[in-house]
Amino acid sequence: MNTMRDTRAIRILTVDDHQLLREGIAAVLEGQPDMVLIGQASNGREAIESFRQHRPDVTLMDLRMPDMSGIEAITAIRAEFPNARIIVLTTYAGDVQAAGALKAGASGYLLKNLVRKELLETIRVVHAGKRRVPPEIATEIAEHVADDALTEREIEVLRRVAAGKSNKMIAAELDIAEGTVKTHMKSILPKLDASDRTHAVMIALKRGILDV
Amino acid sequence: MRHDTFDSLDGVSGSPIQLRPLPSALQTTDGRVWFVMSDGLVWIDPTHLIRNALVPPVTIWSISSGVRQYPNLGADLRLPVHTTSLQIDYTAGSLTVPERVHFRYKLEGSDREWQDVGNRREALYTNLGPGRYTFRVIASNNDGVWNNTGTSANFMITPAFYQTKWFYTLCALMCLGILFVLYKLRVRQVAAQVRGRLEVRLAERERIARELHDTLLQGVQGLIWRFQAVADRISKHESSRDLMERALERADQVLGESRDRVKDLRASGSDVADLPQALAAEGEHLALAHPTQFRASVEGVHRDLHPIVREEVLLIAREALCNAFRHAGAHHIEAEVSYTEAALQVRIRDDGQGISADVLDAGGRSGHFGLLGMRERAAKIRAHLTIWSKSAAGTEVDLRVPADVAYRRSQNAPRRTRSWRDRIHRSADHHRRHMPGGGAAE
Repeated sequence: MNTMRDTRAIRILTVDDHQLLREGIAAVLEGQPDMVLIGQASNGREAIESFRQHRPDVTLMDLRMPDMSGIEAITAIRAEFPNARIIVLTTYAGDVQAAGALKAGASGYLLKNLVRKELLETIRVVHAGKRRVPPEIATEIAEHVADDALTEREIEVLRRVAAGKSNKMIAAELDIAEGTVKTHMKSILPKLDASDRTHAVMIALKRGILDV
Repeated sequence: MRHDTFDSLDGVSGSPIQLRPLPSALQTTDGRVWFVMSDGLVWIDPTHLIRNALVPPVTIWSISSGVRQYPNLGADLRLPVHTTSLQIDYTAGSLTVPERVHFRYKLEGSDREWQDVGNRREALYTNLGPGRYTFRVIASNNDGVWNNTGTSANFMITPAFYQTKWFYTLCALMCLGILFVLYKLRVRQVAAQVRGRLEVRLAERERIARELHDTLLQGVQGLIWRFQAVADRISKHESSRDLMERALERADQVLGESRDRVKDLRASGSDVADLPQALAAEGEHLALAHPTQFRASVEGVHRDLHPIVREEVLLIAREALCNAFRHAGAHHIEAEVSYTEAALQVRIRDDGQGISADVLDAGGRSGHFGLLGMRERAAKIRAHLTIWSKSAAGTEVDLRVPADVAYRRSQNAPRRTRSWRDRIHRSADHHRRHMPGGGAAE
């Protein structure tokens, strides 16, 4: 075994709840002489543990996972290891989700449909200590940087609106008055620059405030 | 033949003896009539009969019910609740031959006819209900002179609360009320069932979308990466590498499209396109390919629709529009959506050749015109579908979805308590919505 190669190779941890996706990434990395996959985790908790154990150079993190979300895992890892380099791999483009991940401490953001072409380069760039965000997402983040963010509660309301629920049902589920739901909606619309609730849902889905 | 009867009350005793051929009566020349009786001889002078011409005054003494007796004091008498039997005592002031005094009475409120009761001096009534009564009695003296005015007494049997008209009216109203409530409950129940089914469909769709996303799409994504890894190992000079890359490129596209489809599947749960807009777009699209004028209109205040209702209505309307454009040969086609308190109504009209009656009756010639499918869809959302058509006069498809199925409940439920001020406010809001740039949020 070539120990020189091993020490210089980028040590990578993948975190994704889908076996097939992890296998796919493993296959892509396998062909690379300067990269080595040292661990796999299927949820946020495993990711933190695996990180402690292996101290990877670069972590590839899915955002939507059961149990503990990718953003929570990133926050936890960065709290413990401020120098951890984490690349988010996600399906949907959306500035809010991306901004959230970057704020939590991710160094890179990569859409899954671009993995085939850009994964390796992104890993190398991030490993070199730089940040890497697709230009279209960066532009979008910049566009909304001055916007008021939706509160947790507003997001919860909007998520239920997206699920096709009426104000009354939402009020019952969140245990608040129907009037309060309406107030939330009134506050949500200008924040998203939406004309009505339908429009608001579309924008929220597109921007990654709600995941599809 | 007019006659007067004289009997023991006039002093006649015994009975005439009939012994033929001997006569038992004889008139003498002085005019007196003689009779042979069993115990003697009697005579009467018909020319000197004394007749009683005095009209007998009639008096009602008392009205009694059970053991209680109420003297007739002239004023209206109120009898207690539950009185059903009465005895009324009366008499006539004719003292010559009291036995010959003759009475007739009538209880107004119970009897229809006068009752001839001879010399009986009391009237008995049973089974009387509550109400007002007038007892009238008239009498004649021993010589048949009638006091036709007689006398009367008014009394009233007080009704129990359940015998009052109010009570009956209240009962009737309550029955109506209960029926109405039952009807409403039933309507609501049916609507809830329909809504329930729609919710299930929505949830199922949501589940399928999530499953597709989580398993199939992610899995395929993983496989694409593995193939990429394989492609990476093929030497750049070999043509198979290029083929592989192109195949993967295509696979990425397919995956992207699938992802969008899945997104649509889920986004349909959030009422993406407005029904009138979607309908107008559909019509305008069809109008491009046909020499027909198309017009779409909306009436009433926009209401949020249940996503599946919107979808089904759109599919029905689309079918109707297609029929109108393709088969009617119409000059004008109109689509109209109206939001009313009672229902969501969609009408598609054309001035074309019409659909023949037998086709309509057959529910669409073996699936022709998709009429059957339209009816099935309508039934699923408990909508009424009426198709009016006349040869050479055109066709009108009228779809009505009851409000409690069609509309979102949050707007629907408080309708009852909504005040007129809110209504005015709402209609003002409605006008504002139709002004350019006035896209007011609710």
